[in-house]
Amino acid sequence: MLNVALPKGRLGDQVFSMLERAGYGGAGPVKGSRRLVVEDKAAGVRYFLVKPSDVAIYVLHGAADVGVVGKDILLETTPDVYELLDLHIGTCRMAVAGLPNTSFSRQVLRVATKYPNIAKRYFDAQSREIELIALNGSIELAPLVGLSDVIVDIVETGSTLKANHLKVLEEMMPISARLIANIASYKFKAQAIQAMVDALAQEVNRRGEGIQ
Amino acid sequence: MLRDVTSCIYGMCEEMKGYGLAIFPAFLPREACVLRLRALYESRGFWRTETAKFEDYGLYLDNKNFLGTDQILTFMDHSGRLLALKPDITLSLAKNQPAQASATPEKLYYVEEVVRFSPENRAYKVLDQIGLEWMGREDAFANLEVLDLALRSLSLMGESAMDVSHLGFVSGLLENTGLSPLVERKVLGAIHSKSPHDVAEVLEAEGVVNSRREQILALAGIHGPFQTALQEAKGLIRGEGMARAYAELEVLAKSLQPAQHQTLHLDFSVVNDLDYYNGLIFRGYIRGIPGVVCSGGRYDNLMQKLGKNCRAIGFGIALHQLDTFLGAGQRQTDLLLLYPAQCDWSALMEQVRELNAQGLTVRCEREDADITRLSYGKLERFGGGGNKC
Repeated sequence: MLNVALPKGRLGDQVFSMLERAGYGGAGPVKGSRRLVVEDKAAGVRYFLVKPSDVAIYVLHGAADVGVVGKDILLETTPDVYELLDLHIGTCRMAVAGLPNTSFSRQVLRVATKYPNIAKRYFDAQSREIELIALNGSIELAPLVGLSDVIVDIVETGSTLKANHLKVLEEMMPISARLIANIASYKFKAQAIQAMVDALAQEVNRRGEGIQ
Repeated sequence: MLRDVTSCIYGMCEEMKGYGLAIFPAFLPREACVLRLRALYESRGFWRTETAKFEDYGLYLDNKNFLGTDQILTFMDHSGRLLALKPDITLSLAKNQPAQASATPEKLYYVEEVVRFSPENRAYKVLDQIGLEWMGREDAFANLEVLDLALRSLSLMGESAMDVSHLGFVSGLLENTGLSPLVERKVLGAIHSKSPHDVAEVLEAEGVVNSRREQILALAGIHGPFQTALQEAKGLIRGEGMARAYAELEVLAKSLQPAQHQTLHLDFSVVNDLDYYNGLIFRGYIRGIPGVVCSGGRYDNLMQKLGKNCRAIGFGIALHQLDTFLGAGQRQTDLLLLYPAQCDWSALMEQVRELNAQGLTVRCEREDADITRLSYGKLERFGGGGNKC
């Protein structure tokens, strides 16, 4: 039985649809279900529905063999897991954003973010001194009320930034959902895991061709 | 005398191998494992060494990348010297080697505690570790001897798997591609994560194209049964360094037993710091334990950095995971013996001794004790009467 940690919410629903089309979906409805564990004995898969930021933890500790998690969380927490496939869904980007007239000439840039490790590495690479302000949500508020000069956050369409009179000042890196695996599980369930990777890779290619 | 005892234990272990860890039912998995491994290592002429509990902090400050952390628990001793609670044993053993390797290699093993910071727990943890080190002059047998012991160590703990790589092969290929050190680190990171998409992205961003790109992607994709994957790797050889590395891996392929090949994979996603490690590196796993259990390799570069003209290879096994994941099982006493508030104490003691002499484990409790939490095979009352539970 392969244990799969799926993120609750829109991303998890999208991934489950992909898995269904790939032949892993006889477990019954996941979307809208309040169940946390959904099993498909025939396909040999058990799904756990977890908080998106917890998927990597379940996989790291072997409670799940594989999982789907955003690249932003992987870059922030750097868990020692295998990152087997880019699913090309949940696409967005990590960016530095702020008010249009933001000056980068301050000695120490105040940066508000949910991603302190990503932000630190990015500005360290520029030899840029920053003061980190770690927040948990509504990051866009920080520069508006003078808490920070800029924010580091994920940007999808940019509409939230625009609605709050902010703009992208620097693009950092693309983000998307990734299929990850526990490194020990990969040794003992290699066939089952690789079969899932191959099936999802085909789905990704089919989506890519469909979009084109 | 010790040799007689360890030979005896090793003989018992070999004879009863099929019973797994149940051979010592009263032992925790970690304890049983240490006895087995000690017998194994001593059967090959590796002797136990013990190191001091504390080490000069400067040793770790100078070798942060070897440790992979700068979170070290330190304190000031009575003379004002900054000492550390050891996060690692290999560095201390390496430091204590003479500048010139002697004609006879040091063959050592240790059973020690190390103190490491756990970011998840936000605290320092004391972890049990058993490790083995070979230090001496250049010797073609050393790789095989140590890898064989690592494989046997894992097989004594449960169903196992081992990934092997060769940093000489990896660095040889990357040297030929002319990547900068920073880009090399990014590529190695992506290979370590088995992320071919990330490898491709890094190479595209750096403008690495054509055959160089294909070689790196091919290296990242090689992982599978040792002999099969080795044939794949042969096609990537460019230059003497890679040829030498390949030859070392080929010797191992020919010299290990067929049963060992069942659990051995060649996998270039096993990477480590090239400043310290060179040559053969490996990581071992046990079914049921989610992380790496055994980790090791050649660290000639570390010895050079410490000013020792010496070759070295070794491995460490994280014992602390065994009890957590392999489980101690519920401990059950053979016999629960209930006694009244007042009785003939010497007669009670005599009965207990007789029962022990029969090979039974016995727990004595007063009649009015709450025995609902206890696990036992049979219940008896001192003075007669009993029932099976």
